[in-house]
Formats: sequence, C-alpha cells, structure tokens
Amino acid sequence: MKTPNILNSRKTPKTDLPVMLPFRYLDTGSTKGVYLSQWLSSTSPWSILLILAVILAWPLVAQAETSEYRNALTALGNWIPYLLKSGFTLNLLIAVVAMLVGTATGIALGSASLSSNYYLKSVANSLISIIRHVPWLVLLFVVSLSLPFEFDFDVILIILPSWFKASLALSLPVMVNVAVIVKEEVYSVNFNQWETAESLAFNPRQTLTHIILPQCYLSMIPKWLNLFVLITMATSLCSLIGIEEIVTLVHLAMEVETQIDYSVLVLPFFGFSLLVFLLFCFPIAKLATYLEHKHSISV
Amino acid sequence: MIETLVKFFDRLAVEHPQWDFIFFYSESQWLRLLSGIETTLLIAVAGVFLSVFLGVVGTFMLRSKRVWLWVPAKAYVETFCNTPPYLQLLFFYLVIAQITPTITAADGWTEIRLISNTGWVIIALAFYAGAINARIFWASIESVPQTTRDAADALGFSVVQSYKEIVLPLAFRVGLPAFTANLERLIKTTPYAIGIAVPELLYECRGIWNDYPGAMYPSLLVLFLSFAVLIGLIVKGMNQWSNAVRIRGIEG
Repeated sequence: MKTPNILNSRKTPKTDLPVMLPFRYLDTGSTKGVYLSQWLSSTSPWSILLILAVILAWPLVAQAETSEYRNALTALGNWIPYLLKSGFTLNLLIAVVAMLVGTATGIALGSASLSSNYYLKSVANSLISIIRHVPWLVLLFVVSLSLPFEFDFDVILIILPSWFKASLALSLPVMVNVAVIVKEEVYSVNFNQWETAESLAFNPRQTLTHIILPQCYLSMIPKWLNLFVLITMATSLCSLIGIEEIVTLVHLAMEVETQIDYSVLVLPFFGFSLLVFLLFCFPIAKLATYLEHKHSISV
Repeated sequence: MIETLVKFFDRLAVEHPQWDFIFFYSESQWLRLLSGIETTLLIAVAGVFLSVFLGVVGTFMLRSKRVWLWVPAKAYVETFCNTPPYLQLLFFYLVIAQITPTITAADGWTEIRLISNTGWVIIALAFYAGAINARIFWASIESVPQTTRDAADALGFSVVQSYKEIVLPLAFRVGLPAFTANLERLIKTTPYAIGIAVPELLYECRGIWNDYPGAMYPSLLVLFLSFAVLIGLIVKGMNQWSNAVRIRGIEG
C-alpha cells in the first residue's frame, strides 16, 4: 500500500486523492500461474503425511476388506521401483528437456519482441500471442502427431522418440511464458535507465546485457521455478498420447494385478503417483516462494 | 466462391493425399467438425454463465459474517482453486454421476442418465471457474477502501445505493483483467473433456483423423487455429473493454 508522502507529493505528477487498496488477487496473467506452487509451498509437510495416512486408513472407511487391501499395498510395493525408475524418470526427463529448450528459445523470442526492428518485433509478438492462447493439451496433440518419427537423411538417420516429441510440444508454452517473463521484467526496470545508458554511450544491446538484465535475473528465477513445477505436473497429460510415463505405467500395473479387485487398487496406485508428484514439486515450490519474498521490492 | 474452394480442396486431396481437407468438401465431415465447435462453444458459454453465478453466490457467502455461510464458501473456493481441473472433472463424472437418478427409457430396461457427459463437463468446469471467480469478485470488492464507503455513508447513501453507485463500478474495473484471464483458462480447459468422451472439438478432430489418415495434418491445423482464433478474439475484446472503462489514477 502506497502511503501518501507529503514531502514528495508536490514533485510527483500523481495525485494522492483517489487511493484504492491493492488488488490482492495476484493471478492476472497466464505467466503468473502460481496457484499450484503457492498452495504447495503454503501446505505444511504434514499434509503429505496426511495423504499417506488416508491411503493407509482407506479400508477402514471403504468396503474394501483389510486383507485384500494389504495385498494391494504389497502389490504396489513390488511395483514401486519400476514405476519410479522407468516411469517418473521419464516425466522428469520430459520436463527438464522442455524447460531447457523452452528457456533458450524463450529468451531469444523475448529479446526479439523487445527489438527496435518493426518486423522482428511484430513477428515475435504475434507468435507469442498465438501460442499463448492454445490449450496445452492441443499443443501436445498437434506437435507430437505432426512431427515424423524419424528424419531420414541419406548420410544419417535421426530417430525422434515419442517422449522427445512430447517435450518439444511442452517447450512451446515454456517458450512463450519465458518470453513474456523476459519482456515484463525488462519493462519493469525504470525506463529512465535506458536514456541514462544512452547518454553514457552504451548501445542498446550493451544496455540490455550490462544494465537492464542483471537487475532482472533474481526476480525471474522464482517465476521460472513456478513454470518448472507447472510443466512437471503437466507431463502427466502425456499419458493421453500414449507415452509410457508414470500415469500410463500405473494403469498398466493395475491391469496386470488381476487377482485383486480394481476398486481396491485405485486409491493406493493413483495416490502413490499423486504423492510422487507432490514430493518432487513441494521443495521447488517452497524455494520459489522463498526467493519471491526475498527479492520482492516492497512498495 | 464456396464451390471454387470446395473444388480446390477436392483437387488438393487428390494431388497431395497428405493434405486431405476432408471436412471442406465432404458434407458429413463438415457437419462433424461444426458439431465439435458447437459443443466446445456450448460448454464455454454455459460454463461462463454458471461460473459467474457461482462466483457471485460465493462472494456473498465469503463476505457474510455468519460462520455457516462463509466457512463452506471458503472450503469450496480453496478446494477447487488448488486441485487440478482434470481431477475435478473425473470426480464429478465418476463419483457424483453414479449417484444421480436415472430415467428408464421407453423400451423398459435402458437407463438414461439425467445429465449427459456434456452436462457434467459444464458443471465441473463451472465449479472450477466459479471458485476462481468468487476469489476475483471478493478481491475486487475488498480493494474498495472502507473510507470510501464511510464517505458514501456520510453523504446519506443507503447500503444498496453505495454498492450500486460506488463499490461495484470501482470493483468491476479492478477485477476485469483477472476475470479475462479466468475466461481464457475456462476455454483452455474444455479439451480435457476428451477424457470422458464428450464430442467437443478435439474429440471430433481425433475422430476425423482416425477415420481418414490423410486428414491428420489438416485437422491438427484446423484444431490449432480454431483455438488460437477463438481465445485470441475473446481476450482481445475483453482487454479492449477493460481499457475502455478504465479510470486513470485509481488503480492501486
């Protein structure tokens, strides 16, 4: 909340009369999709234990018989190493590759949208606004189905595995979000600094790399981490296009365990995959919120 | 004009089998695509109306001083804002839909659900977006300071008058950008309906490219462009609206 400063009020052109309280709802743009990580970091570690307790105490409230439920838990125990090793690792791989590709292209796109060249700027801006408005699931379908599964050059054969196509698809939303973050942060630095730098004979590129961007890095990192959490959670969508990540493998495991009733298996198996995602994202979300508070400029 | 286009796409399909825009020259597939777009729009429009209604009710309950009103509202908002929408959709469809009554059809033994799959998607999305709407409306009313209301009180405005003339016009302008973001989020969530086999745009496109393998690239292209255009137009219109009603100098 801006307090009216009597000493400065004559210098600044702003008027103090119509004061509104700050709008506390932070999520105004799609880059700030921080619900999930805000919620994750605001929950205590106890809530994860609570989920575990629900999973263990489920047969007491449901009709599932205790012995059968114990069998289901034993079955889950046998599956855990496989689910983690070949399932969740793939989720992480998809997320990390998507973040790497998306960040590199996103920084380039963001810089292009700040360019003084009119054509470059408008191409970059329209690319951002087009991709930003398409649902992630649609992007996943479009990119992974339209890319060929191999590129056959005469000298070399490049095979594109399906997980790589999925991470290319997920790198598109990362790209536009990183571009918007770069743009917003550069705009958030006081514009007078550009003029000052120009008077000190910096060229625009030098101004950007030496003066403006160093001020932005710290406040970009929490947003980037939020994006990482969102992408990691979104990798579970890949099960809809048949990539063998953790949700697909959980389905598979439940199909294989035919001697136990399906309704008994649902909670431990899906609860386990939920827990894995929460356990991975929780520390990252905590870190993001901590950094955001640490580097936020209090007004 | 249209005949020329139909002929063009017909010839394109013959010359380049990879680019078989089947829905542009085959009547039945065109109707299929249109019905997909129609269902997506139906879900979106019905979802918006229902979610605004839920948002308004939620805001009234959140602002109430009675415990039995604000506690359930708070619980609703926190739960639905913080769980993935796909999970909510599955919850509504797999859990709540099982306990709703069914009607026995004319043949005596077929049971028809009271609410169809499309209906459940509308309900699930409306509950999700309604929770976020309640948060937005609540935050925008809270952003009008108490002193402004006291001033209205001192000038002899009644409660209804001060809401109508002072609080709501200011709150509306503050909350509009967040509401636009929520609208965008609502439309972006509609493809999740493919999970419970609702014939919306993504579902119909998938059907078309499964039936006609040559139509895969064209239907992916049409799918991508329809969402980009639909959401782009809505967001642009809403942003213009919020710029038009903005009062300079009052925000924050």
